[in-house]
Amino acid sequence: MAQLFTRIKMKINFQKPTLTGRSRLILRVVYVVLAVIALQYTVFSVAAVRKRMNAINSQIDVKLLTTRAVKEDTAYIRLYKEKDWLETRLQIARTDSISLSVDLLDSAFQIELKGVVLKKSKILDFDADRFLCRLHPAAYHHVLGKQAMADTVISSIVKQPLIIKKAPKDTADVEDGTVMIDTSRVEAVHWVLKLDNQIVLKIEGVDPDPRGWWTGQKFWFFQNLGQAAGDLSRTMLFKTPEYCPVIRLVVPEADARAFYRALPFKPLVCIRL
Amino acid sequence: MKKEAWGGRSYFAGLAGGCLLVWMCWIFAVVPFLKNTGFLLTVSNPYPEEAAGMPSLKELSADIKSLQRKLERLTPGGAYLVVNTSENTFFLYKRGELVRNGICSTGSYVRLELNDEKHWVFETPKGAFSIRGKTTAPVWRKPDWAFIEEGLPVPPANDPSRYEYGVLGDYALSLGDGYLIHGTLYKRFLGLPVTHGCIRMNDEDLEAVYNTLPVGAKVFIY
Repeated sequence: MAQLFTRIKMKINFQKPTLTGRSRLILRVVYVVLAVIALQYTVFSVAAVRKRMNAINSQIDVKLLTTRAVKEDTAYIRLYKEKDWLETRLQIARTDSISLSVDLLDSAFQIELKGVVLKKSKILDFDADRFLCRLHPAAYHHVLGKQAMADTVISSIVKQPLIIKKAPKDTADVEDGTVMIDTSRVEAVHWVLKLDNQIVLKIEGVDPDPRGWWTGQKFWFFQNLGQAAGDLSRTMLFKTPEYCPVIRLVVPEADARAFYRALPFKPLVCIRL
Repeated sequence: MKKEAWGGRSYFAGLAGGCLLVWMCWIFAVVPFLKNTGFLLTVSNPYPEEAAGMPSLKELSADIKSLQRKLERLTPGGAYLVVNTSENTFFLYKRGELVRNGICSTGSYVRLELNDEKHWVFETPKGAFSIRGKTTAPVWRKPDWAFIEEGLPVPPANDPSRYEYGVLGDYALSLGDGYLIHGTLYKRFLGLPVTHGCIRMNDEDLEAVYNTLPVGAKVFIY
């Protein structure tokens, strides 16, 4: 055995190649540039979070309405949030469009129309940025206590799965009436809502069939890449990137699809933490 | 000599690649973690000892009860129907309780194009509707697209060829704008999106819906 190892060692006999002076210089420049960009990105990104929190806390009513006693009274905070949640839902019920309600307290995800719950789904898993959990009642009211409208909606599936069919010229041109529903197609259902209160809602549909997993990962990779690229370009210009707190929800895939297709292009959303 | 040059290049590429990988990990994992870390969010915010304007616990509880009552009143007290066009299912409620559910068929999302100007989209409309009328033994008055779809010439408005008997089942409930809840001869397609916009049900479900929903009852389609 020992002989065998010696023989393998002799065969490999790896020697670290020596770099020329020019290559070494290029490498060092690359290291420094990447390190500077990363540092700049880190500092500005963290500063963006603090800036947002400061902006909310510096609002006059937030300053005046929040006492230390209120901040520490969990029963009071729970009731305050409950009232905000009900008020927002009532406000949305006055409109004619289908809306989305996200109740993280009860892990429920539902669509409503005129105050009627059309479908309720269980949130299987979720995580919200700590930024949102740290808001005290008056600040919470500013961020989540009002209805929000989605400014941007991006999805891995189409809103209306239209099938284009040309009208036949005569009876001979008519296709046979067999209904063809393609059940073999793998469709990962993921969507992102960017709300006008600067909160990003990421919805991931999960399905026991693992075939759509890769498509889903690809979707999120490109979302994160786009976000990072935008933020990087801002930080390189010494500008603070926009900070949008993220709430990520994992829901059954069928519900994620039904909800996405039911909602209008710019849906109203209310959230309870 | 050539071998050594290649060794140097791959070593160089390996170092650069490794460096880039570490950088990507920093950008995509470490920075989001730092942004989300609690201690970074501790922003100095002096709290006043007393503040006016915040409701008391008692006031909050009373407000919540009143708001809950208002929200509950928005759900119809009588019978109403909810249709899910994505899964082709329906849910019939009476006095807030689910009394029947099952499969149905809704719009196929086919866009039938006659020419550059004229087209039809076979989609079930979404939103809140109410039952406008109820009929037994309905007769289908075929619209223009029914002829165009079959490659037939479109007859005049009241031509006898426009009327078909027995194809809509025993009952029909009108939602307005020509949209109906009706029966079907093609029961094997129930649960699939195959209609021209109407909602098709099997005979037993249709009868239950017909008997439960009065004229004016709400139908929510999503």
